[in-house]
Amino acid sequence: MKNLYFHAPYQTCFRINCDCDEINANLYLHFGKYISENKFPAEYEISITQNGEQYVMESGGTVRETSNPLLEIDRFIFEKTKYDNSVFAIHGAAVEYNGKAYLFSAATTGGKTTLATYLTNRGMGYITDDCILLDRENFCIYPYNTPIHLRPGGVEALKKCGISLRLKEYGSGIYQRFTYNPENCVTQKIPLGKIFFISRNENENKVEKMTTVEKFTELMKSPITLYDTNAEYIRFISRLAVQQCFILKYSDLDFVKEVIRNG
Amino acid sequence: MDNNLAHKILFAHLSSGKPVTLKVKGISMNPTLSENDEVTVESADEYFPGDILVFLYKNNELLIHRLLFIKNGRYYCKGDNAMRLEDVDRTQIAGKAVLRNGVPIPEPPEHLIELSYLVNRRFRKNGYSSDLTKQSGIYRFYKKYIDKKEDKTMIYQKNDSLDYIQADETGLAVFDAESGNTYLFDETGIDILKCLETPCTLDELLDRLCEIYDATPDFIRADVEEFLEQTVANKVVIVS
Repeated sequence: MKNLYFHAPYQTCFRINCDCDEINANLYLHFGKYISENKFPAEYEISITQNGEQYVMESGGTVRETSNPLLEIDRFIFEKTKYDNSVFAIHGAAVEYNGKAYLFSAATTGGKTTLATYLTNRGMGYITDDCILLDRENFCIYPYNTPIHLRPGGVEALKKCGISLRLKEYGSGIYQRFTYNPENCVTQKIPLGKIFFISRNENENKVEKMTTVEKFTELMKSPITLYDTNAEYIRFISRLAVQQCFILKYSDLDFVKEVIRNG
Repeated sequence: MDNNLAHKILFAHLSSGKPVTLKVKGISMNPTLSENDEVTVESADEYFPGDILVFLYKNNELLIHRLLFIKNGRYYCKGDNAMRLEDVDRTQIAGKAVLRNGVPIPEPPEHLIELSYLVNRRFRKNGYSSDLTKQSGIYRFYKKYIDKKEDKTMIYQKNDSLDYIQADETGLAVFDAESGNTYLFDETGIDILKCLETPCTLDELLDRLCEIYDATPDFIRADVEEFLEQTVANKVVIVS
């Protein structure tokens, strides 16, 4: 049984103990530098025991059998994670260019991971591909450099753009993922540049301005976790709503690169 | 026929899938349903807010009132022309009215449910006094809304008990801590709410807005009325 700790900035810490070497190796692929054997005060414990082809997972007081423990660990961590009050956790990807952070907010399968991979391969700094940590006071973005997890469709899209990556594969079927560790990771917090609410399509490349009300509405939908709605939260959202936010529709990844480069 | 027996026959008939025609007694659903209207009632698998339900209430009363909301498995109903809220469980509901004198019953107007509930709230705050409630602004606003009759004496005012969070000149968020709801307003909404900082009638509000916008009162009346209906329903504007 190995004890590993998932310890990421500004969020809940988990202890994962597992008797399967393959699962432990996949945890490193999945969480990257945020998994280690270094001890941290963990709020939750997850225990995985192999039982033939199945795994018994114990977490949060419940026991279940699963054939995909990595997915179940991910789900449990997602459900239980609380973020520090000083940050606003956005479901999105972010890259750095010329010292500023450019955020891409979209739902799952919205294309933000492929976009982040493309842009980091075109010289931009990698901040994160799934959870953006934005400082509520000064709107700086903290780096959260988990390995990028690409779906097969993303890998294909990048190949078509001439990008070939050193990938490690894990999972299978609909849970198959390819991880990639960008070399140019941002390691310090950086000021916010722009926020883009992205949507991928077949034939349109366009940046649209947003009214304050539209920005407000999209920002209220953007968190990766549920926040209590109260006056203080609304005040924060309203401060964020006066930042530069745009709707970005793209069919061409290069278009997004030029949008950022052209300011 | 004994009432109990009649009710049992009604429930049995409806639960077998057959519609029933009933005659309305009383005025508690005016103007939606009137005395002596014939309503066709059908049973349904599910009932939704806005449906007009036939149900058995206390003391074996058979009522036909509108469902306002469902909470913890209880169905909260109220007559469109009444103040009381009745809560029943699913087993007490016989069916819902689908036709009025052979004509399909339309969906309720957009804010009817919220406004109807606000009348009940006022009724409860007034210690269940219908006389006091009839004098209240929200009741008079509701009557104007449902009867579609103008009341020139109603006074409107921005509700200062909510949190107003203005992002910039073009975006305002209003947060209601009691309900946890947030309402967003653009420049036009901001202008109207600014005009409502001082209490005024609808005509006075229209005049104020016409000083800001190059328009006549009649031109903007419908939009302003719709704005007031929405904001009174969500309590951003209070009426007296």
